[in-house]
Amino acid sequence: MRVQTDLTQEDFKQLKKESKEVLGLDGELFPPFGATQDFVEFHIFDMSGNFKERSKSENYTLEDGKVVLNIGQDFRDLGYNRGNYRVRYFFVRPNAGSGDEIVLTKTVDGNVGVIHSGNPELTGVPMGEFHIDDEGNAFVGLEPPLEGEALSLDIKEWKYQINTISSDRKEVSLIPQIIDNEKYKENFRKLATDTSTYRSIKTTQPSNAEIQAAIQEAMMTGQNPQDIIANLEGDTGGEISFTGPDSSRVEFNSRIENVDGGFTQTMRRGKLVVKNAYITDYTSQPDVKENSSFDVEQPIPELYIEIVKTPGTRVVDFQLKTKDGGIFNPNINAVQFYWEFGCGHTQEASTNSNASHEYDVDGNYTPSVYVFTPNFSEEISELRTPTGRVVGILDSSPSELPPDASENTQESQDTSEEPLPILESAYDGKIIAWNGQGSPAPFYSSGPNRAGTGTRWWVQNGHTRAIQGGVNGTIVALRFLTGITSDDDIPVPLQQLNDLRLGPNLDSTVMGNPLENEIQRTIPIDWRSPGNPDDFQTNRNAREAEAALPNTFEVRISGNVTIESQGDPGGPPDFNTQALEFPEMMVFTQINSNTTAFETPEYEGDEAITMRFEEGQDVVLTFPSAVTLGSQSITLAQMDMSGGQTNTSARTATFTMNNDKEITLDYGIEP
Amino acid sequence: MPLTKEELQKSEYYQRLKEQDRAQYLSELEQSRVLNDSVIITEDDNKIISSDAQPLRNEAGFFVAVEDPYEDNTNLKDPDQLIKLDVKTTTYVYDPYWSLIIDREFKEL
Repeated sequence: MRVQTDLTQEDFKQLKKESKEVLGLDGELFPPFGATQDFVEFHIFDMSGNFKERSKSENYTLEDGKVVLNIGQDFRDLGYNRGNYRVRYFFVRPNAGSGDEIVLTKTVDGNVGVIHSGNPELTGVPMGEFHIDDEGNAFVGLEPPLEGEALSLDIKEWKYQINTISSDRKEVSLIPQIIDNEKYKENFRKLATDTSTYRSIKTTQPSNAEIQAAIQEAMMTGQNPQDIIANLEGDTGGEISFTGPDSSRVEFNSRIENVDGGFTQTMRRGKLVVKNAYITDYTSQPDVKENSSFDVEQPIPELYIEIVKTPGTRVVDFQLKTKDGGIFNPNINAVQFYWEFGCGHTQEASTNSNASHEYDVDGNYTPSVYVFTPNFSEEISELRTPTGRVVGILDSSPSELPPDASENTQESQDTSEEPLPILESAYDGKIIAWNGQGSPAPFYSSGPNRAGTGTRWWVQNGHTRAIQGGVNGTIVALRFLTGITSDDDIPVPLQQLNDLRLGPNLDSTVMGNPLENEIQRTIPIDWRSPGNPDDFQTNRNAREAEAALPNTFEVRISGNVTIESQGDPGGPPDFNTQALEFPEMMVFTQINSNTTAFETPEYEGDEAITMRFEEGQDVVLTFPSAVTLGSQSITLAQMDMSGGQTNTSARTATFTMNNDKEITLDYGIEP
Repeated sequence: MPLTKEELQKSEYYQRLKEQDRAQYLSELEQSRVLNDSVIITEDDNKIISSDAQPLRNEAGFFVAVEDPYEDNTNLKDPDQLIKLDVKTTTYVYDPYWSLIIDREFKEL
C-alpha cells in the first residue's frame, strides 16, 4: 500500500525503489526508528475526515523488526470508548526543538534571551534557581527577595516559530525565538542543511566564546560560519594522509583521543571533500600491466588412455598419459577433461585426468576423453594397457581372478596379444645388496652408473629396483611397509645379482603414485620397451658382457698397383694404375702381425682389409713383398700410413693403437 | 429509586445483568473471531486466539478495538488487537535523480 504523500502517482513510480528497506541503518537517518528521541504520534479524524485531535502513543512496542501498535488503547487513553473513527499514525524523529520542554530566559547586560534554567541536556548549561509567583510568573531565586523585586524570567517553549506559510500550504519558513543559546541556534542552523561536517582535531579547539564570536561575524558579513570557524582553528585541525596500495585509503593520523570521535554512522555513504587540495606531482600509470609470468600455451601433447581392469568386475580405471608413460594431470581449472565411456555414460567435465567406471553389461566399448585447454581441445581415444600395448577396443567382461589374487592385483586388458611372461625370482619381495665380491660392480639401474655395497634393491618379478636412500628416501617407508630391517637385507653374490633383470627405480615419485601400488605392481620383462622381451638395457648379463669388451680401433689397409702397359711401340711408356683388389691379389693371411688381432680381419668389398686391435696395443704389421697380377709378380714399391711409421724395405707398419689407422700400399712402379 | 455505585455493586440484579451483558459481549467477540479465522480449538476443546491472528475487522473491513470486559478503559492485548507494521518501508531514489522528477525550488513564502 502506498504511503499517502504529495507525490503524483507518476513521480512515485519514478522515484520508488523496488524493494523496501529499513531507514537509518546508516547515513544521515541513522539510527533506525526507535532511538531515544523518536516517538509515535497519531491523529484522530471522524469518519468524514475532520481532524479531532492528536496525541503521542504510549502503547507501541518494537518487536523483531516490527512496530506493534495497540490502537484501541491509544483511543481509550484519550477517552474514546465507542464509535467509528479514522486514525493516522506518524513515526517521528525530532530534528530540532521539543514539544514538551520549556526554558526560562533572562536579560543580562543587554543580552536578551540568555538561558537561566532549562533541561541541561537541551541547553548545555546548568539549571538556575527560580520560583513561581501566584500568577504563574517566574523569577530568579528560590524565593522572593526580602527587599526589592526579583529579576523576572521569560517562559519560552524550546521550539521554533512558523514565520510564514505559503498560500498553497506546502511550504513554511521558520525562525528561532529570541533564545541566546548555542545549541538552540546550532540545531536551527542544521535544519537548513543536509550535510554534517567532521573535523579531525589534533590540538585544543577554540573556546565556545571564540566560536560564538566567529559565528556572529559570519552572520554579519554573510559568510559561511564553517569557513570562519575553520580559519579560527588555524592549524588545530587534524591531519590526514593517503595510504594503502595506490593511496586508496585516507587515514586520519593525528587525533585527540576521547575528544575527536572520528567518523560516525551518520556519515556513511557520504562524501569526503578535501578543500584547497592541489596536485603537486603525478605519474601516469597505465591501467594494464604486462604479466611477466605469462607463457604462451603449448599444444596438447600426444596422449593415450591407460586402462586397468579390476579382476572379477566390470570396473575399469582410466588414466590419461603422455607417450613417454607419464601421467598427464595439469590439475588446474583451465584444463578440463570430459570422459565418455562408450556405453552412453559420461563423467562431467572436471580437472580429473583419470576416471573409473563400472560397465553395466559385458561388451566391447571405445571410451574416449575430451581435453579442453584455454586455446586447444582434443579427443583422445587411443587405449593402452599398463604394459604400453595398444588396444583397439575395451572388453568390459570381467576377467577371472587368479587363484592367489589380492585386491591390489592389476590385470591389463589386452585383447590383441598374450602378455609376455613374468619373471620370478627367489629374491622377490626382498631387499638385497651386493656382497662386494667380484668385479666389476653391478649396474645400479638401467643407466651407466655402477652400484656400491651400500646400494639396496627391491626385487620384484625378478627385477632389481634401486631404492632411493636417505632420510626422506623411499627406503624408510619401504622398510616400515615390509617390516624388513637393514639386518634382513640379503647380501647377494655378483653373478646371482647379474642373473636378475634391471627394473624401474623405486623412488618417491613412483611410490607416491596413487594409481599403482608400486611395491605390488607387476613388472613385466618389457617394462621399459613394451613388446621387447630382450631389452638390452634391462638385461644385466648382456650389459656386463658388452661392458667386458675392450675398446678397440680399426686399421684399414688399401692399396694400388701401377704397371707399365703396352703403349705405342714408338712412343713413350704408358703407365696404368688401379686399386689393389682384395682378396684376389692379397689375402689377409698374408699380412703378418706381431699381435693377435681382436677379431678376424675382414674384407671391405675388394677395396680394403680391415683389422681391429685393442686400445693401447703396439702393433707391427708386415705385408707381402709382392702381389700377383695374372702371371706377374709385382713388388711393393711404397707404403703410407696415418699415425704410425712405415718401413717400405722391411714392408712393415709400426703403430700404437690409440685411434683408427689408414695404411696405403703401392705395388709396382712407384707413383 | 436511583442507586449509588456502591449500592449497584451490591445489587444482585445489577450484577446478574452485568454478567449477562459480559457473556453476550464475549460471545459476540468469539463469533467475530471465528469468522475472522483467528481461533484455534485445542485438544481439550478450549478456544484460544491464534498467536498469528490477523487484526480483528468487521464486515466493512474496519479494525475493531475490543475493551477488556473485566477491566474498564483497557483494551484487550490479544494478537488480533494489535497492528504489526514492518519497519521496512518504501524508499525513494534521492539525489541527483529526484531533482529531475520533483521541483524542489521554493516558489513563494
